[in-house]
Amino acid sequence: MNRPIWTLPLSKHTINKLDKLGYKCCEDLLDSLDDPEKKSKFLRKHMESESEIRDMLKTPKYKTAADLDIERDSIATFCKSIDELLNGGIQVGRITELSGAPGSGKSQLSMQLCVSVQIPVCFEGLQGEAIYVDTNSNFSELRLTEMIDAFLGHVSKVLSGPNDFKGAANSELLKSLTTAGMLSKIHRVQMNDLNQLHALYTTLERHPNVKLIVVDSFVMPLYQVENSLRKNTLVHSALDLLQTIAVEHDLAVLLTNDLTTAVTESGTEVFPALGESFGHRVQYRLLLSKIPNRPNEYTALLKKSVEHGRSAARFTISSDGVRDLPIEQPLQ
Amino acid sequence: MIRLNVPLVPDKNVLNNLFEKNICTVNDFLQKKTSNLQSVCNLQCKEITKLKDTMTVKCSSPLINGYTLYLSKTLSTFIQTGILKLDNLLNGGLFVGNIYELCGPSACGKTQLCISILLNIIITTKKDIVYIDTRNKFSVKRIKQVLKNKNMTNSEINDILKKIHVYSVIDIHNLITCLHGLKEKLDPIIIIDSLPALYLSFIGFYKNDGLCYINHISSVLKYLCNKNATILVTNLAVKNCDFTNDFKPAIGKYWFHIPNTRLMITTIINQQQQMCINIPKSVYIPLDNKCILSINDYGVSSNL
Repeated sequence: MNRPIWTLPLSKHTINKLDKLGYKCCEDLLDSLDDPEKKSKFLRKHMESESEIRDMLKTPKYKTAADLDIERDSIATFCKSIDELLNGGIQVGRITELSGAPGSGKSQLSMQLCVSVQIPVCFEGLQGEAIYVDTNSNFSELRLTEMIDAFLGHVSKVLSGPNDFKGAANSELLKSLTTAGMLSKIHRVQMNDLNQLHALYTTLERHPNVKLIVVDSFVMPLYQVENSLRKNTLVHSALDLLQTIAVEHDLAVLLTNDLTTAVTESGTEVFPALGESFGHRVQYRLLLSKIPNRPNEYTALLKKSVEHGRSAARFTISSDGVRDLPIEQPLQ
Repeated sequence: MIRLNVPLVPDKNVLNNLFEKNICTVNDFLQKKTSNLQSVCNLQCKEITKLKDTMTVKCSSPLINGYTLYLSKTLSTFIQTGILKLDNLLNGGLFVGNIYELCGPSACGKTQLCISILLNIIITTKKDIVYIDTRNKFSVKRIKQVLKNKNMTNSEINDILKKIHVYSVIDIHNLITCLHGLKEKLDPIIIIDSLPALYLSFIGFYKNDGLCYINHISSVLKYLCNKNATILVTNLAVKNCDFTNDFKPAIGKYWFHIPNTRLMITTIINQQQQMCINIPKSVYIPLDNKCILSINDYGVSSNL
């Protein structure tokens, strides 16, 4: 069986031109590229570059699972129970979704991750930068300052302790760890349309050290779209884009999502917005919620993951950021 | 559509003449009048007719009678999934030369089932398996976890990992290239996880190019099946638009007809670690039987 020309990612114009010449399948194309006499004529007239076409037709190489057996980096939160839930934090190269009702801690956790992505290498962090795509004006530099101050306080406490970290005493490093310095490594972009995410490509060129992209919230720009088919296109092209970026630049993507109500025969049900097809494309799905009647206590429920079964973690949001529940408090 | 080439046409001069007249494929050739072809090819009427006849025979599918086909099916045409209840449901296992679809809502255990079937096949048959991953979701960690729980040593695990050929594909063109590259492989077992991830972004455009691609992918899959491939595709199930809240497979109505057997997976309410499988479409399995499997540290298994 031959492969038709139209399955190549070429422009419609080129495809039509080739079709008129009688090139119906890729094998013909290769034959004429291999034939020196035809090639020169063919390329001069119709093709931009030979290597491009050869690249398109090259069979991709597989990797065995043994080759893929490498430890992925992950961004730890400051909350041990969430890290345990996710096996060390949110993973680079993958998309993680946070869904929850308003006030369930989605933005707090996102901002916390913007801080913890900057943990220096000597503390086994990624020492990266973060891009915060803000669609809902949830970004709060004041809150971030609080979190960063808490982080810096923690660092100086650890450094004054007995543990010796490789090169941690290095004053250079400490000098760069200032509130202003850390705040300047979090880049905020305001958007009201998911198509604007394409701008991330250029942003990433300027800031190659970015390890985390937060889109908070992913659904907000979609509320104004009335046509549901159009909405679908927007969602999935944005996901295509984010997934490609995540793989190419080896960074983690965090999306926040709202909850929605569905009416069923047995009553109503609450579940993450954007439907099944959105859930299908994210690799991890966390459902955050506030525990009723308990001040400042939240749960994170892992709804989807290849590696772990369903389980839950509890956390609290203090002025320092997202933290574990204090131990003295008995868990009921 | 087969392009004309030298064994089909007597010599190169004739071929070039035909190309100049824009007669490029076998189809073009057969549709042209014999009298016209005579002058183009400088051949006699008799020769042209003979040429057309041989072309028709060469380029069409051969007839095989049912008995020969039946005899050619041996035990090796069954691949056991290694999950007892599923094998029973499938009348023995996966048939070579069939397309199976695992269809279910998100987070219902499709990928888990794929991984378990993949590992079981490798353990029993020692065959290479092609795993096409479209969502960068393939997790070696999970595989190792399952194998470790089966009390395998590290070297055994490593041998198994080497038999899984993972293609990481992020757009539909790559998937097509990848499938065409598999044509040469002998009796491949191919797992595609998942097809809709590549297709969903096409929905909503005025001209749905995605459908053309899905169409082509299905014909390549069917072609591979004719060459004794066994194919397992995962598909998403989405809610019906009415209020019944039933699930239906994604990728549109066209795809409904492509898989030979569809396994519909549903989660059981309040039993997150279990899945229920039934068969809404198949030619050789009685429909609407059910089985319940559990997902745990050992992968997907029959014991609840």
